[in-house]
Amino acid sequence: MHVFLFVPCYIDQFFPNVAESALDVLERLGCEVIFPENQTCCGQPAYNSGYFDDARLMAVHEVNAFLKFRSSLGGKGVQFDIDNDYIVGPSGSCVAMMRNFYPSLLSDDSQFAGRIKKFAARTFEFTEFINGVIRVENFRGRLDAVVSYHDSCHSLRELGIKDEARRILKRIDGLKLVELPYNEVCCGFGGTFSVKFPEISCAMADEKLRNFDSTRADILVSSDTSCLMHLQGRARRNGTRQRFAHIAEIMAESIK
Amino acid sequence: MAFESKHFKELYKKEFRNDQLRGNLKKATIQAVDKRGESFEEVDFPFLQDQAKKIKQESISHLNEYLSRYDDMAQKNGCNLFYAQSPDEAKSYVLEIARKFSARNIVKSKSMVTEEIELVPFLAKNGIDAVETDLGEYIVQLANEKPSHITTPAIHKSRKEIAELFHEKIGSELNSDPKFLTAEARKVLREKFLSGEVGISGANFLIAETGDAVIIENEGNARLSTSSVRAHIIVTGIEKVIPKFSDLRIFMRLLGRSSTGQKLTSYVSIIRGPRSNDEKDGPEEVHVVLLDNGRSGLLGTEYQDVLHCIRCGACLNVCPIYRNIGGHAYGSVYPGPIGSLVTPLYYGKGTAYDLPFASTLCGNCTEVCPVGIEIHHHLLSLRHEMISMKKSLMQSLIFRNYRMTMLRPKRYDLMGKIARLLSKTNLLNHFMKNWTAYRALPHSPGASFREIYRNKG
Repeated sequence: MHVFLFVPCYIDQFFPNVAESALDVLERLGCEVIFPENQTCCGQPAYNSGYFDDARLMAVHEVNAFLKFRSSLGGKGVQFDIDNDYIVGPSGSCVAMMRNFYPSLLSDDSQFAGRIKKFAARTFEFTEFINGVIRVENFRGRLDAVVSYHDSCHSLRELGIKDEARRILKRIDGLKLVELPYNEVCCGFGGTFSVKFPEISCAMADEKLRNFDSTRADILVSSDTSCLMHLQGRARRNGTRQRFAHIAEIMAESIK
Repeated sequence: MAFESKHFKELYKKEFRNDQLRGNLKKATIQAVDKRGESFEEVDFPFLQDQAKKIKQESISHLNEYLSRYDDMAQKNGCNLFYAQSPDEAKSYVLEIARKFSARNIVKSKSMVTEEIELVPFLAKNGIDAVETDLGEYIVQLANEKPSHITTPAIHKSRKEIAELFHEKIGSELNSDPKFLTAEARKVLREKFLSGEVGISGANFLIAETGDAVIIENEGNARLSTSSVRAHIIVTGIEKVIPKFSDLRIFMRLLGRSSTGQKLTSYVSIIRGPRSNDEKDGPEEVHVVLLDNGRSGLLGTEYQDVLHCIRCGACLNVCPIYRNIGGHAYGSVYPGPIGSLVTPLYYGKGTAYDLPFASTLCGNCTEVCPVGIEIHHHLLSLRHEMISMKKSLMQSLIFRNYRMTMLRPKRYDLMGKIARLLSKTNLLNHFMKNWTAYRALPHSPGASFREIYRNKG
């Protein structure tokens, strides 16, 4: 079994530490991890803006970046095995795009001949993979920190992930989790919504940041960097010193 | 009908600037959401939602059949039915009945369909005074505004604002105690009930099996305005029909909890028909106006389940967008997530281009919908239809360039480098001002993940 790391474009370019951390953690948990370099963007920004045709072309490219991957790793030729390998991404939102929306977006594409559903079923969000495929009991870390956790809407409602990250955080000695009030309310990012309706988007961010403040936690942790990018950007504009981290970063830090 | 929803972008900015409004909305919606959550603790929401969805699927996918059964039964019960394709047809019919009874005063209970066809202003133009008897609707009518919510029309107003309004319009003393305000409204409305010749209501459900119309409310005003009058006119949409009387057991458990967090609303009236010969009270005539106005256009489309809506307002209460801008911003009788579907789907996509985009697609609306409408997924599909109908050249070019970049990993690599370099300067600020004016850009790392990965070997 290989883990094919799916690194969303904005994480690749602006938050490489998130992907590095995910890679470290997965390797420490005994996975053989491969990063197929042909991958770029899942196409979600186009899809959510209604540009389905552009999104479809990007989806085809992205699926092929995994399906057609060929490499020699440690002398053995490796290729993607749809029956045994997994695609794992540290972003609920982009994973939801692949798993929930690719099947309908690419249903008419004959080149995949029914393999899209299978591809989608092999795709996992990072915390979900650690809970569902690897056993969370295999992970143990140590980090003295008080954190709060932000559920991203796509993880919560598209992928149905709620306790996965919390179960992981409980495996870190010294770490205390303080739940965020109204943690199922959206942070206001919403992809292009954030620039189409910036006032509303930031009013929602401010609400979230106030709730974070009320927990008195040091770090707001999430499994979706896109929410964090928006919240962190807003917090810096507001001049506060609030800190944010992807759960993979916390995990990597806790096993250093 | 005026389609102000075309001007959503201007409307929401105006509403958003109103801090008082946002405060009122936040308080009221959070309370409603909390109460909703508590009220569902003791029942199995997913089970009821699934049952309700199945009943609605059955009735909407055989709408003609159930309407004709309802029609047969209602006529047997002595009701008069009128099918209106358009708001104008519905309004003319109501006027005709009002004139038949020489009505000067009409008592009206809450009905979204009458808002949709703008019935009250039409009656006023024809010399008939129709008073809203639902407290929230009465407040909005006094203020000469439109409802800003499907079930709580005056949700945008604080108690203090309502006290000031009553003071100015009906001479009440300045007292913002809800009990006092309710009593003040009741004084005025009692007189109206006594003098009203005709009553108008909506209907929450029409039952095919029995020909009954079911009206669900909390104030007793609907019951009064449909029983103390000579004629009762029900104005409702064709999609309200459900197959069996026993189906109500599912909806009764869902509707109150979804809208106000009540296990059951205070009044449930089941109207079978006019007063019979051996009865001493009740209206002499009952008329049912069944409005289409764009509804049948959804049958057989991917949006058919939008017709399942029971107008509970739960999706408005949970929507963080609605909470920040309120119902008036949507420029439509139907605001919030469900309104962003209903408005363009009933009245034409050109009437509400921006509405499907006014969502983060967080999916909270879909989660709480008691009849399982895939609200946020429909919003997404509508975005595609809007783009296919009309798109800005600039935006299309941006998406085209973005797509071309993503299809070529080498070009992507290069563009990524450039973006990281530019984000260290303020050169991007002008092009991304809707981001940078509100939020800082992320700190630019020295290398992308793939560069780091490559270098590791």
